[in-house]
Amino acid sequence: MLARPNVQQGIDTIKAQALKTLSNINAGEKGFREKNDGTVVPADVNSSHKVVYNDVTGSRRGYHNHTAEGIHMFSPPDIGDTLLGFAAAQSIQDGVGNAYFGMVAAEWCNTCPNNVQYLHYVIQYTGAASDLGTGGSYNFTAAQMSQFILDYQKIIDELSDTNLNGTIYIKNNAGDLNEKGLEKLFFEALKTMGMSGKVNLQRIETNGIINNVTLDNNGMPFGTPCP
Amino acid sequence: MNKILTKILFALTVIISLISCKAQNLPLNTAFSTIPEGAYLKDTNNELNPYVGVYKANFNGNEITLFITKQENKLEQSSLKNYYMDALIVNYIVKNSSGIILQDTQNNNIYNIKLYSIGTRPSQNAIHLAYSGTNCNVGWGKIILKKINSNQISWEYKPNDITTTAAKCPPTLDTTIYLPETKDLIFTKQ
Repeated sequence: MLARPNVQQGIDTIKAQALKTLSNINAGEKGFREKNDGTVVPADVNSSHKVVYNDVTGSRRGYHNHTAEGIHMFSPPDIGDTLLGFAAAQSIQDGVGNAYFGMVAAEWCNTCPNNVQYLHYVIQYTGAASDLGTGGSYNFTAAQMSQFILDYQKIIDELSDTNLNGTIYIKNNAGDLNEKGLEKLFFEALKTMGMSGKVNLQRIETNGIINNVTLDNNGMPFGTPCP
Repeated sequence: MNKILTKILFALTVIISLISCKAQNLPLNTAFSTIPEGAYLKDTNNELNPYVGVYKANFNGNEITLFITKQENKLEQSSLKNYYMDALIVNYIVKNSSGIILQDTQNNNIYNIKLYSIGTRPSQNAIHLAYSGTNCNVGWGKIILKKINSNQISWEYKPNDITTTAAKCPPTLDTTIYLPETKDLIFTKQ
């Protein structure tokens, strides 16, 4: 699905936007959605730290970039508002698993081509359709979302605290999370949202390999390449 | 003799019960994942006190005033547990160059914005604060305050990104981020 030319073109635009944020703090966030007929259209609002999809009806997927200075992992609203919004919009025939949501962020990297590394993830809802929308367990209120966001920040603070975790989850002295830290954060965030096991996480490598990311017996994230 | 012994045993039982019922005191930087229900994260080293006060800075034509207070025993309601902690609570006013108030969280009924400390980094002389963001959580992120001297603190704000839908975030809401998105901004105590 990611290989479709128009989707690939959309992802390239998102990657370019992520790259732009490395050198321009005001470059901002962009997104697109793929409609059920396969066409790709920009998100309705693309601003400094906000992307809004006015209406996800008739769409199956979306993609967006994260800016350089923020966290390079899906946030609680990315999961609870947007992914679940796309999932709820799927027809009964297609099923909620037909929806996915992607994210790309860029980071400086001394050993990477052009000194840039892209963090590229995709999520997919695997829970029940009945948990979505009005009356569903995962139809979160604004107050709940605020609480998830505050919990998310406490998890980040814990993972980046060298007195608690050494340097397992960080990549620099500033305490920015590395790949393991970001993926650990994702699973811990699902836990606080009561959604453990309900969202699949995939990491897309630069060479195109797609890894399903899960936790091992010690609670550490690891990737298994898709067959 | 037996009566005296019984009374002593009863008194001991009451004392032990009282001690065990009291909230468990833990350091401020206890790992979030390990905080027990009802525990109290106490600022035993008084790391938060030096930041208390009213501070001002100017950025891109706006004047920002921070009102920093310390709240002891703050009830912290997380998704999976409730506990208590000492925290710095930050309310703020942002005014434009004409003196017009752009955002004022002192009477926080309109915005329900939360900005408070969640950890310290003593080796870096820094406090980490969590920001819930403005309406629809836009601009949520980390703010790092560092004590420079008795009259000045430095500010770093790292906003994160959100995506949402119009159903969850009505377009009529003001989602402008008014806090200064920058690093090394110096605030001076008033």
